[in-house]
Amino acid sequence: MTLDTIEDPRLLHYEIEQFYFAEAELLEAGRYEDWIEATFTEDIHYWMPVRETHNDRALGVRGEGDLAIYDDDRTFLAARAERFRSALAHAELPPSRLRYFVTNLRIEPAGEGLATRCNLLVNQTRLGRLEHQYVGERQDAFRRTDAGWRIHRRQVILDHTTLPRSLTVFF
Amino acid sequence: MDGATALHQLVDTSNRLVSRRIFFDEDIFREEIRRIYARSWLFVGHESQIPEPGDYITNYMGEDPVIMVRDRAGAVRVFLNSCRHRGMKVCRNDFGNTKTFVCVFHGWSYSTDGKLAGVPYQKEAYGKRLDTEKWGLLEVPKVTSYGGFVFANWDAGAPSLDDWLGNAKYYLDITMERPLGGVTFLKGTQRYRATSNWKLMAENFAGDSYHLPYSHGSVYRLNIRQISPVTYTSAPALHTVTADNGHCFTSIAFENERFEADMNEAREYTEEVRAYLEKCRARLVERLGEDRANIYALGFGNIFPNLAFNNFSALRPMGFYQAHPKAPHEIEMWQWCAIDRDAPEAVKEMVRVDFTRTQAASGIAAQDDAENFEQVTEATRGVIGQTLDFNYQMGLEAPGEPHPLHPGRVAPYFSENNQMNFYTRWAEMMAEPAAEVVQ
Repeated sequence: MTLDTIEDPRLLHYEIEQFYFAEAELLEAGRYEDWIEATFTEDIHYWMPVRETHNDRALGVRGEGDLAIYDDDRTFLAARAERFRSALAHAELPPSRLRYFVTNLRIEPAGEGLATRCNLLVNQTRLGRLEHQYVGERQDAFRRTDAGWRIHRRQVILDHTTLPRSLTVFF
Repeated sequence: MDGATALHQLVDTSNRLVSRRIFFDEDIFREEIRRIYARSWLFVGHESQIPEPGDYITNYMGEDPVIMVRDRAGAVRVFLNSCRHRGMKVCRNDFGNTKTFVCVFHGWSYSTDGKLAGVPYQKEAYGKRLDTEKWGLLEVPKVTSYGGFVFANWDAGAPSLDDWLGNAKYYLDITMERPLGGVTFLKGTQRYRATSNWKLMAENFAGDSYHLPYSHGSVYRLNIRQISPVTYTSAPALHTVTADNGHCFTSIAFENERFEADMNEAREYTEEVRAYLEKCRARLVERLGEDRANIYALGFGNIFPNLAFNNFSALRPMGFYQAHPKAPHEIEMWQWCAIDRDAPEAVKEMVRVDFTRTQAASGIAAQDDAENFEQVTEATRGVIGQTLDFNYQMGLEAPGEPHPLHPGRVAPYFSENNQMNFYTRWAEMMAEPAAEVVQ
């Protein structure tokens, strides 16, 4: 499938946007097992590189073999979800209050699938006083499955070189 | 805050109590930056991060930004990252390669050996009245590399790094010698802020084996590769080792348990991986002898004041962590993952991924620690909270014994001997005058 074969690109944009909004709802609710199921393929690679300050923009994003902030497969994403559900992960018990804002969606055809980019703002408030914002970009590779669109590769490029806190949130 | 008497009251070594004030008091914080950070050997980076002439990284020594650079002649130097004219940072990149550091404020430029190499409009602006020889970048007077780890000290009168490390070097040698291709830092420095005094992070690595079963209880229950193949459930095998000058090791197994655990785990990996582990151990025997080879991996610990580390196995990352003090209750955590350059590719890959999943800012271990430090701070910073002490009495009945083969005081795994070792050294340095450079 390419965009040319889609009768109405506006419809595709709407469809992917709704995908992201539904995903955000699951993340905000902390329904992480459902989130993994509804969002990713079995072979998902979920990756967030370290950002650093450099004159050359490209060098400011560390590469695949370098230090990363997230580098998960589906099994490990599921382990994280299980940990949060265990009632022993006290960094999220009581849970943070999260709000996801997904904007500036751009969609390109990529072989049989789609390559999308969007801007992401996540607001985390926690206990009485803690409040942090995380800002960045998602770069997703979508594949059509029997269950509908699913992401098989997600790269999250946060803008922060120094994160405001250690991360208990997904992006 | 002055005088040994007042400080002695804050760290009570006989009853093993530490005043909460030392974690939150602004005056004490200012004094420890002067008396400890300006006189201690501080980690600034690893040589593998700057292999080529002109390569540099930036870091902090206490609150002072520094540049670690390999100069054009190949020597590693450390400079205050501040133009001598009006103080602007001369390097705003986190890493790179350069021939000169140019201050963007007025254009003064410095060569990689720190010399003032260029002053715009020098003749028109200064005539002959600027002695460029005297206005090079401020260089840290003492810089020593040990196993590629570059330590720097602002105090020109400080003891050598060897003296500073004392008997801790006996143990650290194991980390330096086991990797067949040497310790190699992965590219990238991970940074995050945390609401915490820097000492809470340091003491967590220095001695807090006790928080693992509870704080990180969720991690042990997951069906994943365990962070340490030898865990607290086999605690009789694990020991606290209290070393010289405030340095601490908190998960030492003396009887080859860590190597055996690696070999056991490696039954499910390839022959290449098993052969690699055998080679690592053989090399330790050759370089350091059988007794030290039996230790194999150091567990976790802290080199005073703020270089923390963990390494539980040759199949797990060598993690290095620096809690930079920013305010009495604010730190910036900088962390790195090191690998053995000559390990099989499969091992390098599992080590890198492990670090990300467990120790990185998103790591399943790091997450819960941050929550602890934040809420300790919240609950302790008030005027009433600060009247109390923290309790380090675990180990009063087992303050540590000499070991027949190895240096330091050896005690059971669950112990707060190391925290007291850390605070005893802290109190000593706080009772001594600040380094001349900041007097």
